[in-house]
Amino acid sequence: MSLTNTRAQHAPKVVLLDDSPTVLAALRMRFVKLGCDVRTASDAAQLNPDEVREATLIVVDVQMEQVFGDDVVSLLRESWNVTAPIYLYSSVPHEELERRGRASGATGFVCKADGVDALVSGVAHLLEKP
Amino acid sequence: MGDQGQERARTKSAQPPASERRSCTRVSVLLRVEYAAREDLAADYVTDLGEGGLFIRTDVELEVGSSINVSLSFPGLLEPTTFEGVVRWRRGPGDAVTPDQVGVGVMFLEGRSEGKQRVLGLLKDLQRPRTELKPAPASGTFRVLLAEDNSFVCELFRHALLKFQAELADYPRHDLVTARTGQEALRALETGKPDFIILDHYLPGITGCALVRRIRAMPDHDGTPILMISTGGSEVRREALDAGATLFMDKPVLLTQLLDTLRALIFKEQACH
Repeated sequence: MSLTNTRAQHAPKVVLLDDSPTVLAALRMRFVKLGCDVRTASDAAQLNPDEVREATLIVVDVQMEQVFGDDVVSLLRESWNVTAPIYLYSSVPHEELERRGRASGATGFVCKADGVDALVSGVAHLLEKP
Repeated sequence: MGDQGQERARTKSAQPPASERRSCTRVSVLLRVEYAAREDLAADYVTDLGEGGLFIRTDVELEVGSSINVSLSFPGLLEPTTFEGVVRWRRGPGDAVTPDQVGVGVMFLEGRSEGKQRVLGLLKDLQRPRTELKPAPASGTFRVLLAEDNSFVCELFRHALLKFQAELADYPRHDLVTARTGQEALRALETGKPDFIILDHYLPGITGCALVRRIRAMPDHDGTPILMISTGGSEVRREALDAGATLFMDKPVLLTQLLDTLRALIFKEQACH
């Protein structure tokens, strides 16, 4: 997992997991612009449990090369004891994504077809400073 | 056929008829599928089995309405059993579904053929209430060997098996032995006899397919179910099945399907005692 923005110690910490470099780059750019401390991982094996537990927001793709994102969410919730909001961001059909999100313990989900804007507007309230 | 006609045909065949979705009680289980008289087709697998038929995960473009002869099997669950069915519906890659949902719904033909009755017998076993089954001896252990070099995938399997073990507290223990390389897997096989083997293909040192050939040459392990998982697609799939793997599944694997099959193996074993 690479540290891509360290400019603010108290900036919201966002962890992005997606096996598409293009999607990761697009999401990273948007969240950095929002003042977030962004960490990206293209494989779940790159996730660091301590960093994930400290995150303000975690965004996880579903259909990845090695694992399904909803299985990752279940593990983070049940084994790593992650309480931070976790959003599934995927091209999986809406109904399927909703079902998998609920079953896994995700906080919410956004379809990739709706674009990065939909994701950002859906999670903006989580990134507001107190 | 015009665009609209094609769209209607695609939509019509992409989902099971609503009446069948309502009436069938299905169980999740993995079974090897071989197509009779079609040696050109690599083996596929069943993921759902019901009283009316089953779902075959396949990329083969089987025509809706066509009859097919298939042989189902799985070591410890079902001896090779052939029956005839009709393809009722098909989901293709263009049907807005995930890859694990691509395949065909096959309906059993009317009648009481021996093959159909054996498959339905397995279904009945899998649907038996667990309370009917006697707890296994306390010393019983169900061993799974996982050869996988991705640390997170290993952790995910371990997590899933721990949940599984908690769910079946009165039944045999489940041990997961993990190996990061083919050599580690071979060493584990020299000292233990797993009940189920899961191999990734792309391992450091020996590939999963080469491992399958080595394992099948070992008298102690020649009948053990081997599930090969890989991102390698059809080429690796063909090699794995030719080498003797029981099933090949594309990564990522739906853990629930895998656990349902482990559960089925354990309860089938219990039912036989």
